[in-house]
Amino acid sequence: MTETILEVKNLEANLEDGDKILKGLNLTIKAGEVHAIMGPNGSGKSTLSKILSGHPAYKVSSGSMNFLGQDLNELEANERANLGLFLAFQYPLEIAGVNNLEFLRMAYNSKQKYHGLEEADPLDFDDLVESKLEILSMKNDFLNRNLNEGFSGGEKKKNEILQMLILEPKLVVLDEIDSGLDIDALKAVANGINAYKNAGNAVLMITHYQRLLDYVVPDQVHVLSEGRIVLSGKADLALELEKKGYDILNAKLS
Amino acid sequence: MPNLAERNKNEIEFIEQIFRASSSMLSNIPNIRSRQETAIKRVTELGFPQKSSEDWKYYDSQPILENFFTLDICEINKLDKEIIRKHRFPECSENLLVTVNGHFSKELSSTSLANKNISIIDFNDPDQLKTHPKEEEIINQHFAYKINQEESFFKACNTALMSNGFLLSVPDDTEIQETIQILHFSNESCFNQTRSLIHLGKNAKLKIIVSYIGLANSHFVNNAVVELILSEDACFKLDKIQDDTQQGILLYDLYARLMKNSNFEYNSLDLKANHSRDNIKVDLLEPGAHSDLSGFYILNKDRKAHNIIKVNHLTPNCTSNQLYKGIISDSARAEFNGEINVSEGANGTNATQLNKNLLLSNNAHIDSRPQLSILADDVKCSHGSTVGELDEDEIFYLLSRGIKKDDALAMLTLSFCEEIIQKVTIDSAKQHIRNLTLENLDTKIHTANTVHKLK
Amino acid sequence: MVETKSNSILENLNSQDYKYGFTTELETDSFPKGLSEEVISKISQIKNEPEFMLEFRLKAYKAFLKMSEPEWALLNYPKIDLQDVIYYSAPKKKTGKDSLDEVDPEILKTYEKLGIPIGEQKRLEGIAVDAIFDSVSVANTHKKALAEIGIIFCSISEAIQEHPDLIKKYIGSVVPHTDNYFAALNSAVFSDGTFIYIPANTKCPLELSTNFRINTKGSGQFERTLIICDNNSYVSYLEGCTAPAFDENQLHAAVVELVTLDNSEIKYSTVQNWYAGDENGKGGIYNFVTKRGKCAGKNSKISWTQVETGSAITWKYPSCILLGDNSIGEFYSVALTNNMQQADTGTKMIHIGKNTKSTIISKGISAGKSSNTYRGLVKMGERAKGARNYTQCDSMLIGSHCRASTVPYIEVEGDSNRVEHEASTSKISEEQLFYLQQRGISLESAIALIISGFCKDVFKELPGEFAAEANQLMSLKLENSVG
Repeated sequence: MTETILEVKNLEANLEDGDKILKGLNLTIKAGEVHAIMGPNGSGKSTLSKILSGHPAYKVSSGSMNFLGQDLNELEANERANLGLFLAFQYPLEIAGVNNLEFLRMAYNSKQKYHGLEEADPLDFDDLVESKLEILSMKNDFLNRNLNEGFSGGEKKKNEILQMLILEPKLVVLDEIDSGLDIDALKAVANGINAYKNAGNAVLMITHYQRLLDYVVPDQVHVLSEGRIVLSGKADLALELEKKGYDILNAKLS
Repeated sequence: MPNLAERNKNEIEFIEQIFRASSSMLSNIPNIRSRQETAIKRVTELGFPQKSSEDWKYYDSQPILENFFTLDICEINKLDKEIIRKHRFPECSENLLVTVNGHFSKELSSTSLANKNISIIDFNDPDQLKTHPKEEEIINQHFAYKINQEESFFKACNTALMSNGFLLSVPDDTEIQETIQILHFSNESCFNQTRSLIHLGKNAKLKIIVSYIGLANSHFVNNAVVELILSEDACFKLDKIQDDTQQGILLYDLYARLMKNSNFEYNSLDLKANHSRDNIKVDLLEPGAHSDLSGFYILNKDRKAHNIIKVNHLTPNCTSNQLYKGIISDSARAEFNGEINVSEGANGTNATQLNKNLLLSNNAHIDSRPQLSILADDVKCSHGSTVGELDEDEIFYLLSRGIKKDDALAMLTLSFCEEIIQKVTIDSAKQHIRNLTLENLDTKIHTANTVHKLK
Repeated sequence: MVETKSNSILENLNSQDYKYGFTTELETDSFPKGLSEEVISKISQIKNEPEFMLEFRLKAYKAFLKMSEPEWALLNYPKIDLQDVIYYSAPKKKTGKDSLDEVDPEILKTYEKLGIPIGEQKRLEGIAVDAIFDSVSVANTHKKALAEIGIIFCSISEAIQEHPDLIKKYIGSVVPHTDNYFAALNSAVFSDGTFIYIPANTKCPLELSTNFRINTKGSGQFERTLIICDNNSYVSYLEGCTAPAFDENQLHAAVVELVTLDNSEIKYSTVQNWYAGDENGKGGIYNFVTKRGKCAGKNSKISWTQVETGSAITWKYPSCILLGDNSIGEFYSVALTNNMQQADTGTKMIHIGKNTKSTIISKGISAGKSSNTYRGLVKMGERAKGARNYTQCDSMLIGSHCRASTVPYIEVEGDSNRVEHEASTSKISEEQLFYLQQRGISLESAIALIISGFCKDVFKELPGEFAAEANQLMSLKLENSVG
């Protein structure tokens, strides 16, 4: 039997001080699968990614999130990351004065340490990073800049994918990774995702558009509306949504 | 320089004279009178400002002491209506208030103002108050606010000695479309106490343009105090022009208190003041209040301009800007001393402060102190200060396009100040300011010419 | 919420121990508490000083008596009782100026604990150390090797004996004995310190370093450092400071004078980690220091780098007098205050010569209930044609009970001088912390990472190994702090 990576059951969540955003969400992702979540603005897509990864602004009020047999609710954001949950941010943060390469190594070693593995020394780590840079057709000087500081939108997104490749998570959540990318950058990002994908891990893509799905073909497409998944289907569901818009939801649901 | 002992003696004499004069200046309005009595106590407690105090470090108060003893406390003087016509802006001819030597003149002010839903109350007219209970309440609440804790020596002097300033009050939900012009004239060697209290009710809107003008060759000291209260959602814009003041000294004290979501914009244009000192304090008292303070000073000869500014963020989510620009030439001297103070708990503060200066001669002097004091962690504050000369590349660019050197320098200098001039409400005032600026630039461009030796 | 967490992290900072707070049990020769002409004469006598030194001290004392404690700084502390201070305290056993065998083993152990190897076998490569313990220099390494190329690196007491001409010429030439209250006090009572002379055309091959240790309870430390860099020479110097954790405040009032002649450069770095007092503000060092450099020669350069993390009170403005044409002054500073610490620190750049340039980079971090003030003067006179200054001062506030102030003084005359001053405040944002945590980095490491990023422009100015040390010191202040 294939391993279950993520199992979300009847998840309800709200902002720390108020509004309910998820209202009974169910989602199961197994190893080797690629899922896509689409949905209108304000449906709770980005919120889902933040709740999964443990953003402190949100509170789970009921339901469960099980990741590789562990209750995510019990874990801090960094523990979830070390366990293998990776969120590629829609708006990656800029951090002044922090060297990109040093940051990557620190993140990598945090994970090694968490799993009781040996930490990488700078030289070995350089080799690891360089092999990944090639996949994304990124230049070396990228590493000597400060973390996302002054990066273009495309560079920031590529940097997210680079981090993903290095940290080798079990589940990646890509929050609108395709927004603001030109076609070359989109291809590079898709290359990175496809290079990462294997039978033992899984991908959850949150997107507005079909175009990313041309390069990374999903096994399942879900439509999120008003805090729950209202419709699921195969890759062609995304095409249909793209053509006809979310109005078809009403038709399909009724 | 007089020796210290002599100076001290003069300072003591100064205070004693004020003490003596104050008894005859007491108002018939009990609430004003009691505050005047407190003020005179404050004058003696505070003592004459000393250089050791950070706010007076760069200010030479000797000329005040020197002039003072030749000064009278002046009565209102006659003024030729022609002079008023010369100084008023055409846009404001129907909305004019005039003071002469610190005294509010009903005769010289336009009468049509009364019809405009603004109350103008003469502090010297107890009968008027009897028919204006609301305004009386405003005076009770806001005139000489917290005088028993007053920190400004000259403001306390003003309160003690002022005889007839005025209250200008705009009721709730009232927007005054036209800009009101206030002309303050000084035409005698007097120690003038110009005083006004401006109150905007909820959601009231008002624009004022004020000019300080010295006439004849008078050695006056004009000690002006403005108290300002903006109620919730009120909007107030104040342009202050320091016109030709001859030999006079201007002390200007503005204290603004801003309530919820109110908006205050202040532009100070120091064009021909001989010696001026602006002391601006803004308290942002309720969330959402916003203040925009800007200033422009152009100084030549041995003129002096001091801008002492304190913006106090006392509550969350207020915003403020300070932008002061100066052009200094000959042996003129300017001070910019700005503070942003963010109190504990005033999160969501967003405050900026910028002072830019062009020095155009070797003896021109600037003391710039952009200061921050922050006691809350969720704030965005930035400040900056630059001192420099005109950009050689920019000059060269204009020259290479065939523009004459003098024109190029004038063009660049004007463009430096245009940012502030643009903020002024009235078009004819803008033009007046540009003219005065160019007039000032004449000598300066000559100096600059000798400095910029371009190939 | 992360915010409350990070607050508690920083509120818990105080629970971490001050690593250097131990005391060394030693027999000492200490004067009784108190200050008088007699005490000053006795210090001079013990040190067997020439007549001119005693005169210098007494002149300073006379000036001092007429002065009063400065009050303009944004600092709040009870008046210091100068009669309640021990002005001279030295370990009883003989100090080994020639061989370390003569140094009291307890002292050697102390330095080992501090991580400063002064024993022969453990000497750090490329660094020569002068170790000052309370009032006296107890060890000085690499002295002979340096002497061979004409470099004098010794305690100032020794220099007064052996190089009186240099001392006479330069002492008080940058910080006159009348300069300020604390400088006058130091001039009267200083007990030891470091002296460095780099002869012309010499690049000092080693990093020179002094480690200051206050050990005896109730004693003040009044060291005096004088560094002279002759024509076409270079030296890099680093000082470190630690003290035991006592409940009562101790006074440290040092004077440092630097002189650079034509085309020479002094790079002066400080990592100050004096005991800061406990979380309630009890104990800690009162650090009142006058540091000033004079770029006397043309094309010369003085660069100050400071990492200020300790002391209950810091009052310190390492300054540059840019006298020589084309001379350069630099000031790079990180000041971290936590708990009840108060720092009022910055610099003065006095531009006198033509085409002089200065750079100021100041990073202030305030946490707990501390107060952190940048105070800096940039002054350009009309003679200083073509002078340039660039200043950047940034503050970071952590928690909502601390205070950050920026008090610049810019005084410029003349139309060919330029000053550019920029400042900003920032905080560690919740989103930044979440981003780093999502990459598997723990909250406390995330905070440390952001802080070291904030300080990077200053740390990169420190000599190699000390940059790492400074980074570690900042992290140490944040260690074991998740409650």
